[in-house]
Amino acid sequence: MDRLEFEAQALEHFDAVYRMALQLSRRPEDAADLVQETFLKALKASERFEPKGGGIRPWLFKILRNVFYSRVVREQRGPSASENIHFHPSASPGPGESRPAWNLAAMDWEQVDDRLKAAVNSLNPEYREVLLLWGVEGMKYREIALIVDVPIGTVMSRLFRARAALAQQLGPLAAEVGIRVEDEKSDAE
Amino acid sequence: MNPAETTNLLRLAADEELTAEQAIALEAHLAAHPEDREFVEFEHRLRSAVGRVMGEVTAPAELRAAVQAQIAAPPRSLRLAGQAAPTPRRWFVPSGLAAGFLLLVGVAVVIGVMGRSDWFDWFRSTQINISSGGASLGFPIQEHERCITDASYARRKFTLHTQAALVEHLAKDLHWDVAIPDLSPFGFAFEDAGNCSIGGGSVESVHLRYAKDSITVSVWIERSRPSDLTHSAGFEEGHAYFVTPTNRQAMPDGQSAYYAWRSGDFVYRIVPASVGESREMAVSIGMPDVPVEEVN
Repeated sequence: MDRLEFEAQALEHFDAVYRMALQLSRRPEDAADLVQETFLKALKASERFEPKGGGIRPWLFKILRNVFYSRVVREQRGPSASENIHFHPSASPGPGESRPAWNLAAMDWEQVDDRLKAAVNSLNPEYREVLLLWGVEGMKYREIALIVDVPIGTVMSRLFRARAALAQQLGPLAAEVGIRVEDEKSDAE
Repeated sequence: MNPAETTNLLRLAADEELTAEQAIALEAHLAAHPEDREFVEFEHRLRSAVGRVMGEVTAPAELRAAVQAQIAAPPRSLRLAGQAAPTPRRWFVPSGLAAGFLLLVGVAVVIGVMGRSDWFDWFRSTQINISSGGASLGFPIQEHERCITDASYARRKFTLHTQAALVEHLAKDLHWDVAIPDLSPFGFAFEDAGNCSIGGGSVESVHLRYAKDSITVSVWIERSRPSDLTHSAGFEEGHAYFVTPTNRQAMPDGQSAYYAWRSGDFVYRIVPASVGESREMAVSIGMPDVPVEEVN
């Protein structure tokens, strides 16, 4: 891919790369640095790039992720078991273990914005990353697996747990706005 | 099918990730449990809500322009019109160390040219210098125009709507000891201000806007650092610069220009230069009243 072709294709995903950089770093100035380094590395490697596995976007995300975690390792301040982990697996259902315990059809989705944002931001970084690639970037499991470098089954597992956690955290809002909330609804069958 | 399998199947359906076999199983399940369609609908809506709520972030325009410049344009030298190329800065380096360094560079070049190794590729990529890109020089004009034409963007950017709020922000948040430019003698009233960053976020600046009738004038106050573009372009205190960026790819209007000058640790820019009294306004707020030097 020559420089012009790279520019045309890569810059199309500039906002998406910045969004993910911001999610990873949580600081606009760090996100800007990450984006610049990502595009420079991508440009350098563009001659060797072969569109497969979803095109240039997953490839850019993968480079971004590598840049971020390389920096984390370099700075020796990577996320540890005790850092930035606000998600408690014991309180969250596993894949297929439960569903939202309220009347879903009556939910006013315009009212969930702030709660949803807070809920997403409180997720374990590994789950949040997968959730955002799925929800914001609209990626398929295989694309996410390619970026995060885990098997598709792991992507599904993380995604399901993240969604279940979000559904649980939105439950109180449903109650506040007068939606009937059932007690610990189990699966239908 | 146990409950966990059912829920997973429903989520796969919501994500449009079902295999043909799973799709058949799902149809059979929904025929028996039509109420579960609601769960699939919830998953759709959750995905849509996550996308809407978390996807509203867009990259700063200056960052995009800077990266675009890095990709699109090879580094170009900047010098003032009518001036000789700047004299290289003299560095004191112990001769032994300098010789060693030159030897290393020589070896690196030989390795790179002969072997085209990744290391050399990496070395070459660092030559794409953000601070020497024309887009950074042209950014104030591009940004000035965008803030006029993109009301939504301007609303998010300009968070300070009174001079009192700006004074407090400069003093308390940025710890800058600068006066707020007063363009009222020219009929321009302070409109609003907001943080900005030139050079892809590497340089702090504040973007102030003034308005008279339908005309808007922007003033940037930028804390200058030795590594920023104004230094490499040779901006010096006591001089007045008329900047006409030539990077048309990053600028919608290649003929636009602005005035710039240095004052202590700060660089000021007034955009655009095409307003009739721009130069007088610039002089009134600190630009040296000397013949301007052209930068492009």
